[in-house]
Amino acid sequence: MHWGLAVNVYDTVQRIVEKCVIADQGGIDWLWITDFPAVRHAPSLAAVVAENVKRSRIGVGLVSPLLYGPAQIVQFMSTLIDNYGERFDLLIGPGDRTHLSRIGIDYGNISTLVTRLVSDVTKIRDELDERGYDGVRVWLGAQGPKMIAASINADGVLLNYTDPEMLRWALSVLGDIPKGFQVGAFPPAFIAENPDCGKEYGLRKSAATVAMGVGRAVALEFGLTDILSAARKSLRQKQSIDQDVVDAIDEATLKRFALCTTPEGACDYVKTLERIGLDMVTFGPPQGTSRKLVKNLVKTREYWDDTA
Amino acid sequence: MYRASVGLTTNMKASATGWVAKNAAELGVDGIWIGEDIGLGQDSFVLASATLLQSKGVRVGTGIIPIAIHNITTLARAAVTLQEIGEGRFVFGVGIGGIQDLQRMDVKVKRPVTALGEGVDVLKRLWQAESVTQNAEIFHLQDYSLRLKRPVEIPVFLGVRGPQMLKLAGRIADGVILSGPFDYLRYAIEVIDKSSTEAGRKQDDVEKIVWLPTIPTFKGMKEKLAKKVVAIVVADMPPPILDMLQLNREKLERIQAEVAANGPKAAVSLIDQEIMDMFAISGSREHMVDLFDQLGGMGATEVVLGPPFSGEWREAVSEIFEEIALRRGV
Repeated sequence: MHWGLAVNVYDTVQRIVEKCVIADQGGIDWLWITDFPAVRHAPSLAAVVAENVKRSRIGVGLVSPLLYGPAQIVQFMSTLIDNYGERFDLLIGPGDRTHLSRIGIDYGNISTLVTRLVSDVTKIRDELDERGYDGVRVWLGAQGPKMIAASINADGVLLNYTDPEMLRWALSVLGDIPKGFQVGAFPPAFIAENPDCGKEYGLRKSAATVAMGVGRAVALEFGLTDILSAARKSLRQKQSIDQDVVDAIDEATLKRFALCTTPEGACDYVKTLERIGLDMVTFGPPQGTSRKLVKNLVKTREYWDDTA
Repeated sequence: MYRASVGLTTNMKASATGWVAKNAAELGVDGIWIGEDIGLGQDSFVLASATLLQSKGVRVGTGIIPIAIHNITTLARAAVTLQEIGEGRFVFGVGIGGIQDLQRMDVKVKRPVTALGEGVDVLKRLWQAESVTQNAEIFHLQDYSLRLKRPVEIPVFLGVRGPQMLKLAGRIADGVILSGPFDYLRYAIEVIDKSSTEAGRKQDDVEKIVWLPTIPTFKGMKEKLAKKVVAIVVADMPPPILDMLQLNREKLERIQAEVAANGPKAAVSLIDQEIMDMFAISGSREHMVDLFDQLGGMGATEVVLGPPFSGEWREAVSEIFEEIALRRGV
């Protein structure tokens, strides 16, 4: 089982590097650096992380092919590899629709979005292969059933779920998994010795963000349609996820979209994911927001290594 | 005394760009400029990031990023990231881009001066932590901000040619990256100085970077490659600039037509010595530095060496910077 950390790209570059070094030295296998709408440019940031870490693989993304064409994506991935070696992977996804529309980028015909994305993934993989960069694993970020099913065209899928029940469902949507294809989970996470989960606004907001991204089919599948309706209404009015939107989701539902536990509890969670057939878990925000939380993750990893 | 820098392009290999970055301080290089060969070779921003990380104490700039090729928010975010990585050593060079390159990418900018002015204005506002709503020819923003905690200062250099562009640079830019024949450069510097003075700025407020193809023939540079580069420069030269030159206009237009129809390689046979001398710096190291000195005398605050790089170019770069150091009395 591989462990990943979503790097908090809202920090200063210096603090980002410090935390990546802690994670790298502490045995975290993947450091994921997200792009838009974050303020920093992920490929440039990936270079500075690569300059400073020794062991971890560096994931660039989530990157949207609606913002960068496949040729541009191939160009920045190949430049990273040329300068820092075969240590990079790529996570592709459409990106946040509202944020993209604010910068003049439209999803276009929604019914063809998945097809277009898969076509872009294929172009990127083929071009990287053709140029000899065959060590890059291209992941697709997925939540809805169409995207999950389509992800089989990539090298791996990063599922935007926490709840093992939802992850089992996602695996069933994937069906027969080809050899070498990797499945990962991307839960918002807060791992601490004595976590006070109800008070962690960062965690609750991350959970709410994932919950608000759940499509109609998934909401129906897990009986969430009515439960999320008040929060969706609030989100439509506010146009962004704030305290009101978060508070409109009950705690039990928020818990299904985030991991809040002790290091021991986190190891149990990882074991569960391993049992159901996942290959990787990337701990999402707020786990990467402070040095203390990154150290907690490293401690959890040590505990895992000692007890596995 | 003018600053002396090295120019890289994205179409160079990482081993070559890395060599320049790692050796810049030892060579006595003041800055490194990275030109974007649109769609070719390395990614501009990753290369700039690697160059900042691999070099010590030298200024690193993009020279230039074509503004219409990237989403304006990508430019804003990349510049903020590079400024932070460089801890103040990064400068953002931007322009409309070469005519040939834009045509190849099927990118049309109807009003280039306005587009560049609006683009730079919006970038500066975003770096000042403002939220921006604006529709322009090359971008559309709705309540967009970088969510910066405090404003970020990033020097903006414009890569420009025509008179209106030069005036714009004099008004708004921290520096200008110029390329073209000597007669034109003299004119361009005058226009920039006049424009900056009219805008209530000091002439020193606008740096003048001159970046010409440099061809150190004393170290095995292939003449064909040099001529290909000069053909590209000629092809991108607007008619008003050609009018300034004491050269056969028909000959220049033939080169432009050939590049447009069949690419720069096809125009190599049309580049003669007279054109080479007008558009590039070549010859012995002493002669090349003489020409740099001449540019300094004309008002250039910085000169850029290379590309094209071929033959024993590493030795050529070292020797030219040794010559510059000798003249500086270092």
